Amino acid sequence: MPEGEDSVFSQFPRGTRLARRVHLWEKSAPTRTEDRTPTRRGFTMQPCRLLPTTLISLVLTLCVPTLSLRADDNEFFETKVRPVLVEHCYRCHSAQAKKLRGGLRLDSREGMLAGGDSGPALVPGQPDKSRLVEAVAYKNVELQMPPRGKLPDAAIADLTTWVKIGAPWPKQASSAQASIAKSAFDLNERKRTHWAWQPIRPQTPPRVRDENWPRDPLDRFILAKLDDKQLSPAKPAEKRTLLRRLYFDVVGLPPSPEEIEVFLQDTSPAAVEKVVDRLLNSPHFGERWGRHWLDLVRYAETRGHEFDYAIPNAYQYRDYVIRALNADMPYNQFVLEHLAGDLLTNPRRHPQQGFNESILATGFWFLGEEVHSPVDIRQDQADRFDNKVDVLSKAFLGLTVACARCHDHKFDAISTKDYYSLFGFLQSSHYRLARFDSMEHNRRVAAELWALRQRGRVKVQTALAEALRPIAGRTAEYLLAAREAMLAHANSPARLAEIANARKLDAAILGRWLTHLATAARDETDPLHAWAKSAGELESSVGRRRRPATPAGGPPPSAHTTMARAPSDVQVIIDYGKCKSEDWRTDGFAFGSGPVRPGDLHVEGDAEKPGLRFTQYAAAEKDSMWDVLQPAPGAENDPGSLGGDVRAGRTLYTPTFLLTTGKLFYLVKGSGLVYASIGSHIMIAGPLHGQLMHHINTGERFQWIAHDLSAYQGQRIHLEFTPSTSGPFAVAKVVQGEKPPPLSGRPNDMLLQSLADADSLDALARSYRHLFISTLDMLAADGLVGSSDATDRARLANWMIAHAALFGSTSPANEQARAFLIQESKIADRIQKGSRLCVAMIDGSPENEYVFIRGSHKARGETVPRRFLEALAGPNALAATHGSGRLELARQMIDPAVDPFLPRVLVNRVWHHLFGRGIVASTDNFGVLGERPTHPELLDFLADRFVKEGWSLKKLIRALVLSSTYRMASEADEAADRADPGNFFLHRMNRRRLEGEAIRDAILSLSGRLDRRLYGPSVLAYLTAFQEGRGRPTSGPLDGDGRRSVYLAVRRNFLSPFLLAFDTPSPFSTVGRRTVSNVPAQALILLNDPFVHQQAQLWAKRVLTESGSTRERIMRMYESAFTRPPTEAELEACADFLAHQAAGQAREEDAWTDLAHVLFNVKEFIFLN
Amino acid sequence: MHCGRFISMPPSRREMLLRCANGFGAVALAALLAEEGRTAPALSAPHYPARARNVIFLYMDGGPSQIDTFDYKPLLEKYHGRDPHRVFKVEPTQFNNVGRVMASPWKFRKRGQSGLWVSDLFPHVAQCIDELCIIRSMTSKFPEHTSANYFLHTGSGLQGRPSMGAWISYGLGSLNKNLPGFIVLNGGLIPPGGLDNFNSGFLPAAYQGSIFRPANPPVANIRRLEASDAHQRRKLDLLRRLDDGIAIRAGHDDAIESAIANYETAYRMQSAIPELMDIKGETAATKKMYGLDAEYAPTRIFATECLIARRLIERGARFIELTCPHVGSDRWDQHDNLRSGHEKNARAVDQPIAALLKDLKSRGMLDDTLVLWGGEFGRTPFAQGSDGRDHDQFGFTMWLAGGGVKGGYVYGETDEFGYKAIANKLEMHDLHATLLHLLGIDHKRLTVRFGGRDMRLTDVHGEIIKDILG
Repeated sequence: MPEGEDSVFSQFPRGTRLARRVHLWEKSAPTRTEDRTPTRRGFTMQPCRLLPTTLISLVLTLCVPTLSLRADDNEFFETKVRPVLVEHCYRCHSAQAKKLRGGLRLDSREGMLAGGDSGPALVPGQPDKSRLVEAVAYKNVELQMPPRGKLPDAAIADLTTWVKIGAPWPKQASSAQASIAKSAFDLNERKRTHWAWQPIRPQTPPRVRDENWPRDPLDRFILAKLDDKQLSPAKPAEKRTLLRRLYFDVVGLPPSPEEIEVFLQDTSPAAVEKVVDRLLNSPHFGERWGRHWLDLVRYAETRGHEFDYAIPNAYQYRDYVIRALNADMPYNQFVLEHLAGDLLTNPRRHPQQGFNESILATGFWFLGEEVHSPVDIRQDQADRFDNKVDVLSKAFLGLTVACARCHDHKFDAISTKDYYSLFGFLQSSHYRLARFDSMEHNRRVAAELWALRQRGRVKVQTALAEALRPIAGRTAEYLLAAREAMLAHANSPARLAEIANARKLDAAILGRWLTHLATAARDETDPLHAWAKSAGELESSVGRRRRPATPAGGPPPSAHTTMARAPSDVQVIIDYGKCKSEDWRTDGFAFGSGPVRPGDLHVEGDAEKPGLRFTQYAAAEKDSMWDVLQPAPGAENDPGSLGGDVRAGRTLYTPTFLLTTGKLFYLVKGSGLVYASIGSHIMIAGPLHGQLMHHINTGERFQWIAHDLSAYQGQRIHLEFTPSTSGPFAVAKVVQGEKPPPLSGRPNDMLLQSLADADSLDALARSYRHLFISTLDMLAADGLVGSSDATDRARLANWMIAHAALFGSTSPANEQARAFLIQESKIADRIQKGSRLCVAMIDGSPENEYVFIRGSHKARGETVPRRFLEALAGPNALAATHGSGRLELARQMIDPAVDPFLPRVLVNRVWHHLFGRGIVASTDNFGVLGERPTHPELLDFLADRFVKEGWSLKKLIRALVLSSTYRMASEADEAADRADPGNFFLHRMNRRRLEGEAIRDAILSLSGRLDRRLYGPSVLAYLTAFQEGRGRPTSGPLDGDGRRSVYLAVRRNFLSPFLLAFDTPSPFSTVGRRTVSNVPAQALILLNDPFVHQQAQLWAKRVLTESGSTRERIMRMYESAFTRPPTEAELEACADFLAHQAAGQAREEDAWTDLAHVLFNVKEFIFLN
Repeated sequence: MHCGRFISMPPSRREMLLRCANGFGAVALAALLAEEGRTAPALSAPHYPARARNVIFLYMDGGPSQIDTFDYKPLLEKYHGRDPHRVFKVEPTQFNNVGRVMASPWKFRKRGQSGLWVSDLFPHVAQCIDELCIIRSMTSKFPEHTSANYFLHTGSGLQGRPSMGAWISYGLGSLNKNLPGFIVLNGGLIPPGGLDNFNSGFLPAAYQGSIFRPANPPVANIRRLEASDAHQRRKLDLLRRLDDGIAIRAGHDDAIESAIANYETAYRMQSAIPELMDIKGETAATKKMYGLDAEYAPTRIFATECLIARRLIERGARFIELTCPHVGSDRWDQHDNLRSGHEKNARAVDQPIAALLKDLKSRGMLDDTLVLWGGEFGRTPFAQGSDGRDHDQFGFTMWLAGGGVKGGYVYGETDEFGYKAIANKLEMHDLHATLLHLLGIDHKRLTVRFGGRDMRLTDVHGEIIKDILG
């Protein structure tokens, strides 16, 4: 038995245990009395504190009516109070206010009593409780009125006095009060009157004049409207134009001259379809459309703010998106995974590599900014959550829910309660780095380990019981024989043998009993202590004499699994002895599949020298099988102090709780780390919050460890425990209070109790036999775990194992233990040690948030349950769950019967990308301030079909690009443009400027430098000398290693200047529609950026390696760059230029480089017709 | 539902253009206005007569101490060395390492005709005190640099909003077609929060701050890589020919034409910008006044920035922001060694700032140039540790000069320890509203629609500080 298991006591040197323990016990009793003292003090304090106010209230109750009638009070109000109110308050807090601030009126007593958004302003007679007084006193920096400056001291004193005397207010003034009108927010009315909340209605495509034009039913909606406006659709685009459009729209790259040729040669009616299908099946499709998606989730790989710390492994999310799009994962599944991919019972697995795909999606929650040392950590959380809610609602729903942070939405059917109900989901979910690569595999290994241990335990225990049983069955005889020997001072082997023989006992074993009893007499913790003492005292009525051995004054002995009883003023946060299954929250399996229970068997050591140990104390205990876990090479850890490599997949989460005293105590054993997560804070670096992390090392024994977080009183937090990778680690209990509960529980409680009934030595000896045998019986029957005295039995069993020699065996059950270990190690060998990591969510315990009045977390409003938007799903909370409820939320969001936004918003986004403007132009806002759909029926038609066809993005894109609408030419027609200047009705295709990514990718494609590899860590962006600042990474290679732009690192504070110039958005919120600017800086970049020059040179070299005349080469360059041959004039201009340049330059290549560079700068290169 | 009537408000011509397909309307407008020699202002005319045409923001990154510069608090000497908790209510600070009450190590003197107190940290600026409008009651919402920097620059503590310089150039455009409207002269320090302090957020990229260095090249991509101008010109000639062909093929297209026009501008910028950065032609007296011959290298850097700022004003740049040079230790962020740190920082900027004010004044340019001085917050009247000061967002000093504000004037007040503003308390929004006002812009009417809201620099706040208007 390892020394550590007897932990609670082993801290005391042998021999002094008893004394120390009794001492401890004595100390602990007064301690508890002391613990009660605060309560007592509370009682004595209370009158002191309450008396004055009580008196005042009393006095006021009696006096106020009188007072308010007294003329001098009226005068006091009129001369000292009202002028101050009028001058300093009424501009914002009266009927005259242009805009009533905070919903508060101070122009009547009723108004003050009713108060505003943050509660009553006035408690008559109690200045201390009156917000009015608090505000003017300027003591609380959060509540200072008037906002522009403190009132003169005299005015503050007058207001205070006025409140103190009961706030008398002349009658006539208050009777003139109108009711305090609150602005009406009628959610149902708003829902009823705005199109976007209405269900999606299946549509019949309208009839059109030219029945030949439509290719897809969608064309009918467009054409019908054009008919209506007496406009005709533009002629079809030329084949080349269409091909270039398709390539850039579907894969974001230009077609090669060969691909153009194949398409031109294909005169079959299905030529376009063939190209479209090929492009949709290209892996570059996911890269192109993945980038569109990344704009919506403010994708970045760093956390911005001061030092731009990394979001570790963020690119795994980007790769997830690209794979999902390439696999044409149904959009509803995609959304489900974003919200709750970590909670799916059957997560989607990567088809080849088998890893958990679904969980990767939840990374999107954490792609925003993080702050490293916020002074107000709760405020900071509110800001981060605001961003998450903003992105969630805009990206998926096209709704601006974040506008309801401080007040009900000004225009849409979204209440402040809606907003904070979504906060609850985030409060109930935590950040983690997930071992997405290994979790599914290791989950199976963990299950097998668990099953083996259930099975294997019985075998080993049975063998153990059988090995010890023969001698244990004769315990009484050995005890009595040993007593006899002791009394006879039979020290010689011969005498011992004689005694043994007389009782048919083994003399050698008897000798061991004798020796052991001598020790046990001095060791109170030894089960045989009672016998040894009693036997030595030559008494027959042992029962009575032995009782005083029970520690005096202690509580009645019990046989609980608890090691520590909590005094009443200690709050138990979690007790792993009584942990409900929903409170068992771990990331990974390092803590096994549940808490260890008293009586659980551990087979330890290696097969050479197995050791057996029964758990005595319930705890979340590290299973050292999992110490081998490592991040895969290249997997990034968290930045800052949390960046140990040990947390991912090895963490235990407590439920979330309120820090009251803030003094936490952990009953723990071994070494590990605890991180107290407050306000979902994850960026620990810099001056503040280092104390949230606490390293624990108690050696081999359980101890109370204090963690003082009193600076964070009032916050809700949860704890994350991570074991060290060597040595033991176990968490038995977490409590909060003023001091830790005393360590209690004494060894052998059960023994003392059961032996207490023995009234003779014979009886006592028989009791011992019974104890041993019954314990062995329980082992053989696998009945220890769950028995009421499991802790004591386990301790006894451990003692028997440690003293197996007394029972005639030196290594009981060795063989079975060895076999077990071999089986176990076979399974453990299959543990996948390395794993890539990703940012992901994990569920915490359910939490609801309260409304922040006016957006201030310090102004607490009503608590709102977690639910989806009321206008869609009703006001009731989601069905109760044990966790966050994100999965249930997601299920509502993807149900078109509940939520018509999801499909409408998505089809509109696709339309926007393919036609240059959405049917709803404001792609991220379908609310009242957004724009109305130009073709509402078409929007519903597409949304309905999208859902019915299985939410397939590829089918949707295919239908759109094959339509006649998409195939129109973009050339302007003067008359049509006059009639429809904004091209709202799509009488022609819109001409579009390419995005920065597409421009850069096209340059790489032409130069031949394009590296078409998919996925993987990002390449650092090339930075100019002008991009300075904290956290600046080294500049990446000028050409980004030739990788597509979607693989360039998106470091928030150091974005690629090339992409920025062409409007790649700064990642802070959802951007479904990029700005398209047209500025000299773009010209300067294409003219003077060394990257463009470098690529021009590569292109020139490439052109020169190909055979052909100058004219042929120019023609090929034109084909590559613009998907068309040059006109004769262009050809001539280029040839002339080459000739002229070559004349002045030494190398032919330089002239061609100049030409290539010019072609990159031709406007046609960056526009799509 | 019927098309064309869905727009909730009757659109102006400008709005129509902006709402046009694909945002091309906006660039069309940009191109239109570019022809008039301006870069696409959102306002065709100011809302009311402007008092200032340009702004120079002397950004004191890190948070200079109000009580060691312009907010004299003799009472601190009395309480020097006491436990601040016993003297006033101490709020949580960034480092939570609260030491003793600490009086200013610098002597204060009354200066100028106005007799305002200035510490010996700013002997040169003190000579211009009668030009300064000192605001002693600034507050910020954030006690950490990054959020406070964003708040100061963009009116929001979060990343990603447009900077005030971007708003102003969005509103008014640049007065010079060869110059961006919003220029950041980088002395070496980019503030916490990075270049996003100068970003255009949801405004078009055109309005983001262009980072200029007092070095060669002064700005990215401004230098041609071709060996000679003739060489580049030949390429541009070919480009023009090829582009013209497309224009014919494509018919009239505002976007393409404006992109073509951008090349002419870009070409001119290649020479215009180096010319403006070249201060060789300035007189020796001017150079000396600014401190270009100063012994202390950081002074020379900031002197160059100030001189270039004046040259930029002469050339019509709208909003110029200067960042501080490295002084070997930290920027104005003296969590320890207040004395040497503040001394170095002040030494770097004092003489150049005074010279800028004098120079602008003597050239008659101060009247319509608004100079703004300050950091993201101030510093505590008690020590951090033993000899530093922590961040104080509850009351600190910024000052303005020229551009329509009263000189030799003080607005607002902190408590007797200089800790918290107690009179005429101001928020960044008020400062922003006032800046815009001085430039002739109603801060409530300069908006852009983003994510379902009409966004403003001042969000839903901001009041013009009328008392400081001259």
